[in-house]
Amino acid sequence: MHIPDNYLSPETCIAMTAAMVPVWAVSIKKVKDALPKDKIPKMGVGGSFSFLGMMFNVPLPGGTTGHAVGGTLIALLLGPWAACIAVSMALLLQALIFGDGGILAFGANCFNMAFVLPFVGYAVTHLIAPKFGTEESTKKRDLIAAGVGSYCGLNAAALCAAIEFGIQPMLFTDAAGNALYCPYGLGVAIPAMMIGHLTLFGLVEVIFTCAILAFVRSAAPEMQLSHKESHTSMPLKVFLGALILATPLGLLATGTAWGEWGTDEIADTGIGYTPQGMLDGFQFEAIIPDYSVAGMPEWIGYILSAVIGAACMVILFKLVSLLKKGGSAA
Amino acid sequence: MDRTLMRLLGRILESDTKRTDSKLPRILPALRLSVVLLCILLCALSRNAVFVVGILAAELIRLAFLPPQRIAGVLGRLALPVLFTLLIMLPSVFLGHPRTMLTVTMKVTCSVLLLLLANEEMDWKDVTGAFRSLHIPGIFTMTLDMTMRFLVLLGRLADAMLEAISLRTFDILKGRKRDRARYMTAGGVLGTTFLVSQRMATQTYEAMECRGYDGVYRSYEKHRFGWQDAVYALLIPLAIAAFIYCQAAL
Amino acid sequence: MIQLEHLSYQYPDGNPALSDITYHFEAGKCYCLSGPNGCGKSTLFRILNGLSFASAGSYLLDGVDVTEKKMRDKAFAASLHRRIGYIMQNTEVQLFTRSVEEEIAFGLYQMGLSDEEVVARVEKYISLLGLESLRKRSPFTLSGGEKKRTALAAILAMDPPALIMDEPLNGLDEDGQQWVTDFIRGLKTPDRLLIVATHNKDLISEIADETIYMTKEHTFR
Repeated sequence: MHIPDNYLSPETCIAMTAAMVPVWAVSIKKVKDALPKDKIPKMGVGGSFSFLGMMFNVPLPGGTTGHAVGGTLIALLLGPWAACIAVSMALLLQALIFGDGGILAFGANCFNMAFVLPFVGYAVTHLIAPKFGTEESTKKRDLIAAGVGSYCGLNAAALCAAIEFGIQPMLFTDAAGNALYCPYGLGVAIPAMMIGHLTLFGLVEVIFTCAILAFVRSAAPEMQLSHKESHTSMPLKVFLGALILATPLGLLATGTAWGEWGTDEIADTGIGYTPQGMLDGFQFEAIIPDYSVAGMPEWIGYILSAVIGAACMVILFKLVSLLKKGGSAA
Repeated sequence: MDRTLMRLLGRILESDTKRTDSKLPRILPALRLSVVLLCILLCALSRNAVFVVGILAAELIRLAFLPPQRIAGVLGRLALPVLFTLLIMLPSVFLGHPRTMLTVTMKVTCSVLLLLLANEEMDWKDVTGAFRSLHIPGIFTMTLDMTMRFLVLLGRLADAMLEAISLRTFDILKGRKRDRARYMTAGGVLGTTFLVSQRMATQTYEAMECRGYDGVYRSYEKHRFGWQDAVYALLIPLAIAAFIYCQAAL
Repeated sequence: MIQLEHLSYQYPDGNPALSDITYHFEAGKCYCLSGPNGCGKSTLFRILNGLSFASAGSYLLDGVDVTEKKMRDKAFAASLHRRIGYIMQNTEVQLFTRSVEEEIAFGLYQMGLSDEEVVARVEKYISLLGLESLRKRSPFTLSGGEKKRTALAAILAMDPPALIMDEPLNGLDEDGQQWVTDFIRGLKTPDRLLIVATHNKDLISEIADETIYMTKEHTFR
């Protein structure tokens, strides 16, 4: 679910980041007020845990594997606000240092995985088990609630990502009608994202959350799992809900126009520009030269190809030398 | 799992020690990061391939100057996102967006390469340090540092546990039973790691308290704005000018 | 300097950890504390550092009673932490910043020292503990001995008149143990109080002015 750069338009990324800024600000305030005093190390633990969780490939029936995000788990243990900061930091490190997930798309990734995921997961869990983690007698119910919560959280996040993908071709196309970023409309993006998350990844998230909760419960029953934080007030819930709903809609509104829905659907059915696209599409040579050098002085093209060619040669030779030395190409 | 984990930890440790041999002038990390961010942004905004190819060319040159081992590392990490994007974007060719596949793939290559190279030249401390100098609230930067630290400490612990388990595991279970055993293993390893991590977090907080921590965290590292930084900063107007020129020519 | 009067401590589950300890630690002396696992050494150290509080009896630092209520006052807590340095048994959890330099500077900034003073002290303790080549490294990537040296530098830089060390030789190889032993011997000055928990007989014979044995019954002998 880590959205790389260039799948979303910069405009979308800016809008998503803008939506995250107040959330981060409130998170800091909440964490400073509410969490027990050892908050910073605990959030660091939360962040690295989410990170580690993403590396645990859990086997699934049928021989496939998948990994978890763990946002709901952290929300249940440290509270959703702390989870927001912890997962945001994990995502930032992944984007900057491990190249997983885009830098421009950081805001969007945070919106999905650090905001929607933990908050939905936390809310659903507490809806099912209002006394989550406080009583020994409700252990089973708590686990089920956490499982359902984490499943809902992950899928809500995936849905947000799908919507973000899906609105791209409606809003951002070049003069010829080619999508500039993610080319798939809502009709393709939503099923493509959701099928995987409703089944495999959702299941992994549930296993990850429940396995840890169950283990902690049985190995260290004295550990207080309930997270004592004043419950999210109703107006805030409404505000958050509205924000979640409004962001994609707002993007549509501020983008080209509502009317684009129509043309996009036409395009999907193949009446609009598709024939033009098909014509271009199958003449392979037409794609690059036409696009790249259009209107540019020829010498720029020459210099660029020369530079790229030279650099590639050096890289190639260096790699060959590596093989000859018997060094493993790490 | 254990392989990925060890590779990750190895990368952090390597990044912590490799910097000593660097001959490149030290550029203000925040500045370097800003330039990378700007280039990624401009690439994303560009409606013209020349600009993106230009940035790509510059990146390839920088890559070519690296030692072979590092080139291999960068290319290895670059391959996955690029191939993945190609695969994802392939159907779009038949859905009426023939150029999208190439545009998006090229831009993804460019952005990922920009980041990977930035990481080759900075260690993670520079990256998180850059955030510090941009006046991001201390709670974020401290959480960032702590996340890295716990990642290494807990990663080592999880790895040691997996190794211990592998000594006691004999691959004789089949099907359901094997899956069940694996879930239990994963839950046990992660659960134990979690419990230990909670204890460590509390102890760390106490250690901070013992050294008088009162909620404010000041950084010792100081990097003055030197002439190298000024030269490097010229890249910003240069990139913007090139961008505008390319867009205008379209 | 440190006075314990009928100090007792019970865990929240009711088990005792310390029972009725009365003792007077004087400045300028080195006390070695030994005893079986679970005799309450770590709990005692937590109390001395103001991290836990006695269930009964009192703990006086320079004649002032240290209580949970007083520790909530930031100024009081700060003055206690400035007077007592604590080298934890597991140095791994004690080092939490991004680099060795930062680690040493952390406490100094918290003390409110000027930038010049911080730089001067950081440099002094980096060279004193031979950390020059490690200064930019992250503490969590260091070896056990290097971590111990970093923790020592970070605590000593704050120049506390009392220093508490929990098993300082733990996890060190022979050379490391010898180095730390010599270093602790060098720390003995006429006005510094040292309290060292250790099982190591060589270390005790090298540094101790007084040896205290804690029994299974959680008292001093």
